[in-house]
Amino acid sequence: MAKEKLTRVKKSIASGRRSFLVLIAVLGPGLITASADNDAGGISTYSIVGARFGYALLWTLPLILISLGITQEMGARMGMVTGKGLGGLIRERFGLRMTAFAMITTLVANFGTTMAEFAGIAAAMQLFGVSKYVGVPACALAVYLLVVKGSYRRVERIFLVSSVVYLSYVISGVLARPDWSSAFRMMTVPTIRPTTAFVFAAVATIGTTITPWGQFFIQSYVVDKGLTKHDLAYERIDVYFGAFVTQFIAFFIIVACAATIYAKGLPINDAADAARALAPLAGGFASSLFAFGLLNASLLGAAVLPLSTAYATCEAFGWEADVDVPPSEAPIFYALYRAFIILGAALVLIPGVPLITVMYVAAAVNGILLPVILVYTLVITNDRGIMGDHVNGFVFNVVAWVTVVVMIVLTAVLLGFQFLGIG
Amino acid sequence: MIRFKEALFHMPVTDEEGTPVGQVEDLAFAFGEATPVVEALAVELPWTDRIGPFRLVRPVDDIALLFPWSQVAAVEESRIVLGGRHPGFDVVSAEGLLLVRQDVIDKQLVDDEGNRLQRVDDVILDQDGRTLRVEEVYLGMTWLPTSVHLKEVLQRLTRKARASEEVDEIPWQLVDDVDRDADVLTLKPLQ
Repeated sequence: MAKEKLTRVKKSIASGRRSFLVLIAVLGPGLITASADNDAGGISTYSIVGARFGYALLWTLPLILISLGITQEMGARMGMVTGKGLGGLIRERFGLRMTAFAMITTLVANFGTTMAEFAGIAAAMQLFGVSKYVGVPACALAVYLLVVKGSYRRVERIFLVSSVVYLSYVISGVLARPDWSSAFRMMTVPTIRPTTAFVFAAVATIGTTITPWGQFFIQSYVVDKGLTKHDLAYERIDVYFGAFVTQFIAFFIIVACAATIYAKGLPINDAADAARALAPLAGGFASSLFAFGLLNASLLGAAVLPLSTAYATCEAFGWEADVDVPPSEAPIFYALYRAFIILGAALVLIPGVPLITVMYVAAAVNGILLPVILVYTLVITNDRGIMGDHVNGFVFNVVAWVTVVVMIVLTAVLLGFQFLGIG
Repeated sequence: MIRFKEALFHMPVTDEEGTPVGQVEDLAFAFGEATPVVEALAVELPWTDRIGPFRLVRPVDDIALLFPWSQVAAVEESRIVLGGRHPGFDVVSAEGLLLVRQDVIDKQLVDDEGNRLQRVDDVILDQDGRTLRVEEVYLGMTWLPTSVHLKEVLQRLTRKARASEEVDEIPWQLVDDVDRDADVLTLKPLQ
């Protein structure tokens, strides 16, 4: 009896240890996607939201967290069950025409975000006292060479490790002594203001977090890592944890800006204004600290986004896509990748381009176009012919469809307000 | 010559009295021949209460059944006519057969060295009365600067055909393998 019990105990210990090792091994796609979510668009959107509306939009964060976790899980699950990226799945499920529509939507959204990343680089460079006409081209070239000549994964990990700088918002948010009771109350009580600016902020807050590119990215990442449906349970932990981390940082960026910029009635028109949120922590170095975080976020985004866009598009149409082959063997892949970087950087160099506005608007564009990709995702994840037993459950379908409907309604309201000239 | 997606997919299927049966879902053929004959017609039925000789306990919605091509009476411009009266048609298994839409269209085409060429946009069929044969794999957008490997394949085919314009269809006889698990079609080495 004792021997049997010992065997059972040993087995449970061994399986626990194996479980932990498996969890460590699969950790990554969710966390990486989440960190990439806090890009230039993310930092600027949360800063503007906190600086202009105080705590009024905090209530959206828990809802976005749930939606983000579920939509990202769907993307990861599709990748693990089918072993294919989202572009390829869309093509095989919907055919050529619908694929073209999906990819055009994605290209538009992703190009906006790529511009935002370079706008972030420009803004950060200016805070460091470097002209954008020097900094942006240099960074564009550096990102291109690092990815094409170096190891993309190593570059990604460097940026991810340095993402720990976002914790400065957590510390600054605490040191700013915000009204915590008010902040937590506003997190649970929805506030709705019938103005264009408020609705736009809501669309941008959602759009900077749940993005079309994020859906493609997490799916291709799990496929790249070789994760299968046997890793589903562990990958869910990774995805949900990543979603939590994203919103945790977003919360403190908003709170820090609300407690410093909003509370003093200060404007937020550029990156220097947004950097004030870090003054409680860094004092006179707030500007440099903010610039470092923004630069880090923007470089990661600039490295990830054009590349994943080029991969996804080529996968959808069956063209060669590989940074390890010469351009003559993958001409469309390289053309897309280069075009995104060159055009994204070039447009930001136009004199007078309002950098923080570019980042903010790009986030809203993501939000407006998000329903298109989510609908494709929902059809696929409910198709037993593709997903087998791993189709969406009821709760997942409800949350995902609610997300689609909310974004469509918000977009319609925004357009309606514009048309009617409201606020 | 007709293209499956362009001309046949979702075409109405009726019986000999004009009663709607369903719409064309797919075509089945055996792999191995240079220009394989279509052996069966996959029809999507809105509902049915029988499958072949078997009457079901309850009707099923939205089902696709495979009818042997011998039951096709005519392939007209706007419909396919089955000989006999609905629902009294025989049904065959898809085992061992390839399906044009499910296994070929939108799948990845690679050359014999594994280089990606493009995804298959459509399949071209030769119609001779009521007989259909799989002739070619159709690739659109070859005017784009696609891979050098695809360009080589198409240039060789153009030279072989002595065509004045670049061909953008690949003869089915050049398809060496259809990997259903990987959704990949592999071409034979070109000589």
